[in-house]
Amino acid sequence: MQDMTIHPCTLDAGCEALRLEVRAWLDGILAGTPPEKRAESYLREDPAFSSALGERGWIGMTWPKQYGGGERSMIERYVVLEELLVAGAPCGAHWVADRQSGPLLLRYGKENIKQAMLPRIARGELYFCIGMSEPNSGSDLASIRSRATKTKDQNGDGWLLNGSKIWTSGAHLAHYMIGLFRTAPAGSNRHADLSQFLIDMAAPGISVRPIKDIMGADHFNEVFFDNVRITADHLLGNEGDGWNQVMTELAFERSGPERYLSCVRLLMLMIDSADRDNERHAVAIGKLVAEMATLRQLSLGVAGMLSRGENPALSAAIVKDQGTLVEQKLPEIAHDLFGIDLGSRGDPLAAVMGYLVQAAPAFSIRGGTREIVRGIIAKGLGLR
Amino acid sequence: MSTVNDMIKESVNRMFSQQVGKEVLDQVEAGVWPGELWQLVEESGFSQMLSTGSGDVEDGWQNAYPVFHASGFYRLPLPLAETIIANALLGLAGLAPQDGPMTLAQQDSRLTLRVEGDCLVLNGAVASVPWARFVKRMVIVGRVGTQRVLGLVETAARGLRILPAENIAGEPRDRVSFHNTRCSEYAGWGEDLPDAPVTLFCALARAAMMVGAVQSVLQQSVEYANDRVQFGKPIGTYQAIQQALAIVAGEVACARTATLAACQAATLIPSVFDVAVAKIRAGQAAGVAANIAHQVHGAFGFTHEHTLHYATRRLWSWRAEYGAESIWAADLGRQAIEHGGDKFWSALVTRQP
Repeated sequence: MQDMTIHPCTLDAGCEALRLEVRAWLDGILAGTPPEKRAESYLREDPAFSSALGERGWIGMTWPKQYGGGERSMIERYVVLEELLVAGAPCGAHWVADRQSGPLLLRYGKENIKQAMLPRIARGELYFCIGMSEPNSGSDLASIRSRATKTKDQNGDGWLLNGSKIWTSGAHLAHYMIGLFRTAPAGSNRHADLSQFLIDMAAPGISVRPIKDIMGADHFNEVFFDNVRITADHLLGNEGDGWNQVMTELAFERSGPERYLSCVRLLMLMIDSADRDNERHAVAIGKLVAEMATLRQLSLGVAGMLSRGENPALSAAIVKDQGTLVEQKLPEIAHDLFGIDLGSRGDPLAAVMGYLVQAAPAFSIRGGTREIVRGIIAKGLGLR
Repeated sequence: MSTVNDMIKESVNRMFSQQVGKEVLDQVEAGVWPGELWQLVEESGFSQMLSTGSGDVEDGWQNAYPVFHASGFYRLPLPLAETIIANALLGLAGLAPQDGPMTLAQQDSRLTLRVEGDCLVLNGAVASVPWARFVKRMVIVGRVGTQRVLGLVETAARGLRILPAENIAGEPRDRVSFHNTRCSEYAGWGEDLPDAPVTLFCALARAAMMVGAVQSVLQQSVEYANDRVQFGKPIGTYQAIQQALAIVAGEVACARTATLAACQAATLIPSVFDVAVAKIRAGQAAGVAANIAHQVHGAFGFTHEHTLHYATRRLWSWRAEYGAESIWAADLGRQAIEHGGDKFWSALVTRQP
């Protein structure tokens, strides 16, 4: 059994000063934003907000200064993210680029690409999407069939991409995708022969088809690749190392504060609607406060592991599973306590409940299904 | 982690793993005091982990955590947590720590305290006092009028009677009554100190003990699932079992990190907010872990011969002691509602109720 202890992480005075700075700035820039907009949190896209945030130096915070970063600590970045999520800031445009694409480029990108792209990400100008799932490959990611084949033409060595990706959030808005492709036919080791590529979404041969979600919103898409030509320097890392790189990326995706703060706006409205003298209200709210305080320590603890250079994959899986359990419980508890008609117009609680009860099923699907995440935990326990 | 912390962790785990087994657990449940085991524990200094006289109190709770955790993990049948906390409270009241096993109680409406000359006199009763029948001394915290006091009373004192009772784990939880019983010592309990220190300190200790116990039932369940073969394969290879045990691992992680956070932030007096979070989260984990561990163990785990029940019966008892989840949650919830949704986040970050 692997040690799964997630040690709490203490914030220094500098972090708390930064928190107040971010909070004050957000108070100003988000003034007048209604609760139901804030509830959409990091799924709401606003390029103007992203560039304003980049200007403050709050994107790519931990990256080296030579690439436009701020050389701040993982913990300082965490504090900024918490405040953004709690305020319900519209971070959708740059979120993926800041969280995982930028760090991947920093680690595996060729020098010319790092210099060209990272400063633009940090300025909040360049947006990314993630190309992993395919129509026949969801939880079974290693079964993907989209392929990259080596090619040579008047522009030199390169790759030709064919196939399709699905459930790609923000593909309609992103400038680039980091996608996982098969660089050789599947052999006995299914995790070998997968590679990651940096793909210009404006390249000829790419088409994006929106897929409406259950609320009728356009967040995710299907992306088709028809002989898309990319240059050799757009291979990320080594050919065949794609699986390990994707696992690293997913650890970033699974452990952040968005794994438990997606529904925080609802909790705030529940607190406002609750009756202090109603024991049932007080107990339910108190338990949620305890759950949120615990999840914050877990998530912050993983940020601490990242800052010490430890491998957080297993801990990240635990944070994701526990975080989504609580997030999905919130609209249920709100219904139990208040039971209001979600069609009510003009009532912020009804509006936010209505949105989150519909949004919540995705929480334990995106970024690795609950079942896959628990499989990772079980393996860490020494089962199978 | 400091080296001191690692040393404490290693020595307490080594001692308990060697000394605490089925035999001594059954013996204590049958009503026999494990004198030799207590001797070993006391000689090691574990009973004064939180005493102001004993070295590094700055890391008080952080260094005591491994001792509470191991007490839960190995299901230690001794009033060790109670003695550690009684000594800590004596120190906070400016009184000297005591040798030998101790217990403690917070005054409730059935107990009255009064001062006669230079003596604190007790009348009435307190229920569910851990291990009272086996200890020499007992610490009582309460009020004389508006003044807050801490008294130390010998269990052999006149007018003190012990009516034995047990929790469902067979741990002594006795009723102690007093008739004009005189404390051997007493002192004022400062206004700057917490209001109900017995509840506060013991709740955090129970949380840490529950973390140890849920971790032990997880470990036992994983071992069992890897050994037990059904349909030609170890049951641990089935997804149904894997997913269930992954839930327990998540519960353990939550309970542990919440409790560690409370212990790391505390020097000697833990924060009410942190303790509430830890006790609520560990109490929830106790129920889930016990339920799934028994399901995985099947009928074998339901036998008295198996050792699983020493942990699960303790978990079901401990989660109710010193404030069940709903009691602590009602306080947290009322405060959150009073402050309003806008203040929720800053309260969570500063860990103030």
